Amino acid sequence: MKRIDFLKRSFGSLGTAAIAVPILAACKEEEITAASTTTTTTSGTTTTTTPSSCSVTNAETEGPFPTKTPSSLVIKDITSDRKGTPLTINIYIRNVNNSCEILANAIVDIWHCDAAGEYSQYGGTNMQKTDYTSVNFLRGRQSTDSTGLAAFTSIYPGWYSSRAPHIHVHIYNSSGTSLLVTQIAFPEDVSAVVYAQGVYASHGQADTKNASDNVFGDGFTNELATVTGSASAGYVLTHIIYVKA
Amino acid sequence: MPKGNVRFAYRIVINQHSSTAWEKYLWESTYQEFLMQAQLFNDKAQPALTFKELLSKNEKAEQLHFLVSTAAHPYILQWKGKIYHLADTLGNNFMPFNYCQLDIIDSNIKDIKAHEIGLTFYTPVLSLIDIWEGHYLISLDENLQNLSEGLETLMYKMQNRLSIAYFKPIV
Repeated sequence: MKRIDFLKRSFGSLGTAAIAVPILAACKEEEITAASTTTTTTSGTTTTTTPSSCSVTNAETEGPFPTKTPSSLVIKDITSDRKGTPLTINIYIRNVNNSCEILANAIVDIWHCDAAGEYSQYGGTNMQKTDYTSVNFLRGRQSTDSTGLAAFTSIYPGWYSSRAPHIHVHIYNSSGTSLLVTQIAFPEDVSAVVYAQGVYASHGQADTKNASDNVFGDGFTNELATVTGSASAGYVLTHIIYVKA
Repeated sequence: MPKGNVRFAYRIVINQHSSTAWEKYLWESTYQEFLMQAQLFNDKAQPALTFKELLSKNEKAEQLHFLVSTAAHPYILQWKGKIYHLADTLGNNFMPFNYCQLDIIDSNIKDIKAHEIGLTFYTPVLSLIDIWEGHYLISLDENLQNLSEGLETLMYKMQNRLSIAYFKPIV
């Protein structure tokens, strides 16, 4: 008689079956074999069967020693493998609810497209499997310092059809509660110079002006960044974002 | 089953019941990322509580699968290309992987216990030589042309969540 049959029959006469069943259910089928010489002991509310032979239960492999690690978004240089004109992005966060003072320890996420107008990962809604060693590009997260600054190193964003060049920004307080989702617009004269050279040239000039953009079109004066520098030396973007914190 | 080149896919599910430190870190880290990134897609005044509800209200929330994977990425790197939950019958040879994909099964902005994710690992192209008694007989060598001369092999048990995601017969 198989042990499982034996136990099933035993349970018929025991009021404690409900306790023992989950243990049995966790066994794999081939493990539920025991010679007919086994003995069963019942003590208190548990039933155990002593098999005639046994081996050590498999150890569950944990893999290498795990260490707590921040998200791969937490990087200052977000360039990754993307080519383009260097851009230093200096975003200052100020608090409307505190006399426009700087806001330290705010979390700032940014993301923008590459020179060809492509974003890291999602394009459609299909999930994609990815080379596990590759990291995101042109996405990053920094916290503001005591001067309210979150600084990133990147490349000048490209553009894609029907949008003016832009950088997405999501600002959270230090505990991760969203304060503002916004975008940063670029001065058109600077973009025109950048898009005429280097890896941008083959993609041509942006097809949408800030004033006709469906995001910036309703007014972008407080979303327009100051950008200084040159195509050869790279550019520095400076922008202040006001939030209610 | 014919011989062929195969790519195995192996999916692990991480939820409140996961027990290893690696899984717990990954569970907590991806939940924190979910909380932050879900706010991009959620209604501030009347937020959807669960991921599935959020998806039904805003299909752009599909991006969360990827966005949340950024929190899992450092932990996946720690496995250095070996699927440590998938050992061969000897118990110490782990299936290699070079692709990984995260999917959010569900989550809840008010309850971490509802947070559940899947991680699917994809192996490089390997050789499937045969299937014996519920085991895959495989070789890490992609080239099966010299099989008659003998090859180093490994055996992996057929099991739940282990699938073949690519197959090319050897003719």
